[in-house]
Amino acid sequence: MARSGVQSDAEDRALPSVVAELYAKSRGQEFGLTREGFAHILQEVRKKYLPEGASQAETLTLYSSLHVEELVLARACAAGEERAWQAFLTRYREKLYEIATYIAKESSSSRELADSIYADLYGIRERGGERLSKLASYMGRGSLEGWLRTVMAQEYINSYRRRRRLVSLDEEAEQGVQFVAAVPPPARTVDPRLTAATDEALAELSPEDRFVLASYYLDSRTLAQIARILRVHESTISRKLDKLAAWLRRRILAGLGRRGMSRRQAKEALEVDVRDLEINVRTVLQGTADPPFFDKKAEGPLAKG
Amino acid sequence: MAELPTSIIERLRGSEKPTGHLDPDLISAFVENSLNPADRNRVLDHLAFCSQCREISTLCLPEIPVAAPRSTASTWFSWPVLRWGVVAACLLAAAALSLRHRASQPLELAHSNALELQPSAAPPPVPVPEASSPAAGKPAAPLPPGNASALPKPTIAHVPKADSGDEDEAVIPATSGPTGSSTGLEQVVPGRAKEVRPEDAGRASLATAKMASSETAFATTAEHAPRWTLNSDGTLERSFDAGTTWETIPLPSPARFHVLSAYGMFIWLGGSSGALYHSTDAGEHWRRVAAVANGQALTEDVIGMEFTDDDHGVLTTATNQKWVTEDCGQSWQKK
Repeated sequence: MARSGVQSDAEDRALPSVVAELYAKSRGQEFGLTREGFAHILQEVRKKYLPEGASQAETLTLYSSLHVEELVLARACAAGEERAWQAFLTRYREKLYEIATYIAKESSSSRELADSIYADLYGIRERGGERLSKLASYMGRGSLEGWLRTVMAQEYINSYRRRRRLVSLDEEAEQGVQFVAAVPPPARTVDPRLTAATDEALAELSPEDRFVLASYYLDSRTLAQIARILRVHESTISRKLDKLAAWLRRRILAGLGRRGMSRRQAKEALEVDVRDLEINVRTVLQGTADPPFFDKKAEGPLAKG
Repeated sequence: MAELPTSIIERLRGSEKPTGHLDPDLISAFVENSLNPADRNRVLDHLAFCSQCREISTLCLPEIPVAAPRSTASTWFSWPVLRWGVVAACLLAAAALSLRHRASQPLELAHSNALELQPSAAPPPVPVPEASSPAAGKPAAPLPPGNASALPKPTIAHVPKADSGDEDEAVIPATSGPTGSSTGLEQVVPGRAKEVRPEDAGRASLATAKMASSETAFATTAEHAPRWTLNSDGTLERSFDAGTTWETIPLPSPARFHVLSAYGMFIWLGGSSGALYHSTDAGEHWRRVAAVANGQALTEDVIGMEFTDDDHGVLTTATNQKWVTEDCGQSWQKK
């Protein structure tokens, strides 16, 4: 959309003043960061999160949402500024261990996790004689503490996966892995109409609805966990799941009806446990001759309704 | 919860198609609810299809500070209710003392400013609502003249003060002892402080000698304590509904606060340059605590804090010194 000249001028004037204001708020001077250096960091953030032709208004909104003080602290630490490190350690040293304990739940693992993150933050690796600190990748979108928490969670999951790959034969034996029965070849015969109708219904879900479904049914998250992530009450999630399940069922049944199945056929196809499918569903369903039903029109997804 | 047909779950799983992963900035901003709607939708769109990012976003949820539970809605913590709570607690303490006295014969309870229970007068009914105590909801039965006359002048003056060790000893057994089981006086006195369970008593310093204080009135009726969060920008937030809604609590000082420790209605805040504040009413009022140990005041940043109850706590400073108090911050020891 083309911007009017007046608007453009106002925005062009606004940006430097906002940057100046944010620079003052960031306390960058305390860590020897110049205003130009600060502006450069903001540019970096803008490049990462906004498209090339983003308007000044979008840029201003992004800049205003940044945790600039923590951003500057992180970047100053990454640059090896001693005062910044002291400030960082004062604020976050204890928290790092608390977060690690919360994530790893077990003392030796948590210490290992915290130490590993600490090394990454300090930047023990070097490239071209320059220390590579993980803090340089912090962009200030969320709080620094939240970022540390996320980085630690990522590291914990990665290290867990690495360990799983390197599990010893003895450990495998203890877990009974070598006695696992051979995995049978996939013998599932799902009616393609069911697959298509299900995919069609799932595609109509809003991202949030699908997130809720995946969290609950695939990841086995609790209602409370999902509710905390979405910042709603868990009864809201409970109701949403009930409604989504009912809506999906209706929508898929309607889709199967459109694909030529009778109501009874559609219900049977939907309810059959695909994990137990050793029989050919189609053969079974061919016995029925109910007329296809198109009468019931499914409602729109929850997010749209 | 509604069951979802396995065919749907299988398709849901089969259609997971992560393309790359979210960067930690976006995940943390999403978890903190600080993204604009468009970015939030984009993140949700990714999370809906990426189990690893979902796992990380769940794992990086901040820990909920768990505090002692509180039983009543926040409206119960208004001053009029407290006032009646204090009166009820006084009467309970007096009745408990009298029962103890009856059980173990002459106990010197003389006190100059003692308030006598009139033998022939019924104790005033205390309008403590049902929710505050199982027995408090019952109307106070009139005091039988015979029983009342046998009372050995229990006194409100024996309701202990925090700094009175002797009086503590006089009252604590009365609040938790086996008295009152068959004396018939249970019906006489509204509220039943004697039946405070040991674990409840320990949880909110009930077993301490603060029986008559308003804080104790909170604690005896408490089931759900507020939840607290101290954001990284130093904003203090409180929730009385298990984290559904949060309200910002004005901080008592411009100092930058780093840590908090909440215990029921009690909360401690620690921050830069030895800033240390304490509230006994869930952040409504604050008291600055000047921590001094061996003549030396606490001036360093407080970066760690752990209170096991309102009296016992340990602070950790930026230089890794431990400051310990065992009397609600009145005195400190440096370790």
